[in-house]
Amino acid sequence: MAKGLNTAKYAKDVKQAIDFAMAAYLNAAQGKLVRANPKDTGRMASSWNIAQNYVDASTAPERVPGSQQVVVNTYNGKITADGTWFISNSVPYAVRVAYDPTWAKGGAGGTAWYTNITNSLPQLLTKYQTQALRRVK
Amino acid sequence: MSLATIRSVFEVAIQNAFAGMTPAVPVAFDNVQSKPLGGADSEFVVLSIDFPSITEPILCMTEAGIDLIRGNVQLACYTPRETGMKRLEEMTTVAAQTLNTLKAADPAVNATVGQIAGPISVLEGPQPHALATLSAPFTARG
Repeated sequence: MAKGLNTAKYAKDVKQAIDFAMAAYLNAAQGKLVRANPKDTGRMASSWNIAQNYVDASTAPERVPGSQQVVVNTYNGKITADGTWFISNSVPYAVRVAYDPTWAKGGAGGTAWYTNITNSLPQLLTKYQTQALRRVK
Repeated sequence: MSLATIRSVFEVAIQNAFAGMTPAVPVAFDNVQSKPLGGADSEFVVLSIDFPSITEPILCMTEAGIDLIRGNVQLACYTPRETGMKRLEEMTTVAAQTLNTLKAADPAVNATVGQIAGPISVLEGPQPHALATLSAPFTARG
């Protein structure tokens, strides 16, 4: 007996799975960056933002050294797999802390904490896409 | 599986490459030198190697996974500030060329370096050195 394929439903389910994977990927990538970011005041770790089609350049306020309080800036809208998504950090010293081992001490994952994460992002996206698409029947 | 074997392939090749420059450039390794090499008028390189993943999941549920060592290599090249970009670019070129030859350096390790990100130049700030950083993911067999 042949089983018919509802192509419209299938396409909708695939689109939902890809959207779900993109949301999981962006949130996981942001979480990795926040967690690994060296924390003196916690300001830089609290300044990782997710935005669609623009760079959210807002930053956490100045902190007292040693406070280490971290706030994750959760994206409040719906994440879909279209447009261009940016995960950004705009504190003035962000590039130095990301790329200079002298300043990156204390990062979870070592002094190469930032490139460790960014160079593994393709595998992270593939992982979430695979998990989501496996659920499509 | 030997992460030390993989690390040695990278460290030996990078150290030899920078020793061959004129003048030779010292290389600092993970957990060896606790302070930057030399003073404000010196050149040096900081090599970092990390292994974020050493197995991959497979479809067969009765197996745990296969060995596939994924790593990240980062080279931070330092030169004195306000001396131009020539030397930084020479150093990053040597670094990139060396990374691209590692696959043949030890066929047993088969270190395969992926797309190299950078060099990212970090020139602002009060620090005495200018910096350019290269990084790349790699796979290898231990």
